[in-house]
Amino acid sequence: MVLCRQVSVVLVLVCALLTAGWPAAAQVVVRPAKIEARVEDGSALPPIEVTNRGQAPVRVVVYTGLGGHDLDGSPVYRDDAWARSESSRILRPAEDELYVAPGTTVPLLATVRVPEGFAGGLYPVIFLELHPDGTQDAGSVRAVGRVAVVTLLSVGDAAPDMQAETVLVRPGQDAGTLEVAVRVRNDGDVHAVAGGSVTISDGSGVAVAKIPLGAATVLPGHARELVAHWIPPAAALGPYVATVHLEEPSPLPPIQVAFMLEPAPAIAGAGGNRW
Amino acid sequence: MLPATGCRLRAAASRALCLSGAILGLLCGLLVMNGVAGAQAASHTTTVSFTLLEAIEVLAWPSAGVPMVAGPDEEAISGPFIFLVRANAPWGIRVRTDADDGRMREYDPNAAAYVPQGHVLSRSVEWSTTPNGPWYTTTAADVPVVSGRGPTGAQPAAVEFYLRQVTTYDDVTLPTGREYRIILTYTAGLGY
Repeated sequence: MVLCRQVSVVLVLVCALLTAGWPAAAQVVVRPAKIEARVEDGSALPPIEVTNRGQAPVRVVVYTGLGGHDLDGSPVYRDDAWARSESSRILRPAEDELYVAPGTTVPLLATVRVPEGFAGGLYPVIFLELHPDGTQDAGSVRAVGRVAVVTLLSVGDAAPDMQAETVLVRPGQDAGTLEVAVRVRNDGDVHAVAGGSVTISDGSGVAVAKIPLGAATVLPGHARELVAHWIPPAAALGPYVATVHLEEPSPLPPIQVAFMLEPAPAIAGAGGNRW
Repeated sequence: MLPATGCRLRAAASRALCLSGAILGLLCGLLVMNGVAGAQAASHTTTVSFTLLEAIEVLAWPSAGVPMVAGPDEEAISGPFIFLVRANAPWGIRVRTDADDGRMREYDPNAAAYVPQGHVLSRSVEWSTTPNGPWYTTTAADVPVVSGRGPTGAQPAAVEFYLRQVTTYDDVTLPTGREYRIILTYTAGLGY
């Protein structure tokens, strides 16, 4: 199995080399690629190290933008003119261009600027745009590779305000499984980790399972979906209730959703309202 | 010292007893010393903490330049292009173009600039992660090619990527020295 995976990776590498007319960007490692810190005006971020593991020197163009996320936590980047301007007031990289020779590591420093009297979360993104030496200016489709470093900066005393928006019970991706999906929204001023658990009870009210609700970071003004996965016993049929307990960042009143398990499909009808 | 002095004056039969006493004394001493050392170790502890930095490594990106050729009412498909990524946290890749509608524009390589009021292809460049589609129109907004992928482990994760350009008779051929062009920007990063 391991051998198969290694062979497939080698094949993919060969394929990549065959299809690449010339590389879009060299092999570059960025660490940390995510920075969470409590800051104040003038704070320096931990150095971001850019390592070139390729064969050619790489010119790295550095600029900032703003970050957010979608329901699954995937980052949503903004680097239009407005976002660049706004983010550059918050975060100032020491360099706007790095030159990284093969086999070397170059640190990138950045300083935080906090607006006077501000308390809450700041979420600038540092973009590292990679331009390997020797890239030819040809081809109708040109490609630029870049790595985004997301930051989660907390300033002063600010609090999250997490609320559950909706709860859905739906078939899982794997056959015979169920997902309890809880959409949470942060209406506060700073990010926080939302998490908790889901208790599944049968028609008589007896708890048959307690499942962790995957904890996840939610930025202020954003929503995120937390999912609990349940594999019902083969004999499970009839009415059930999922009770959602959101315990992080602070406990919320439980939410109950009734649903029905039928032989096929795995679930019929789901929905519910907050108590 | 103490047992040896006494042993010299006694018969050989008592030597063994004296030797046993010496060994016993030595063992007692060691036990006492060990107890003291143990007490000292209990009061001196070293706590080692370790923070693993979240990192992403891109081992391969799609080609920097992709020539695409097709006649009218044909489609040109290029690929597979490969992203090879290693990450120790959830990660994703997004793509966008420098054209709002994802359509290639007339480009002058000598001037290294798009031609003002130049020609524009009638159809957008499309992308997919398989050669058979589904095909997605490229736009100026970042859209996920892959998202929410889990940590890769030591073996890199490979993501295939294909490009398609469909042309029609509405599209105008360009004079020598000009070409249609578009820039794709790929962004790799960790999730929140």
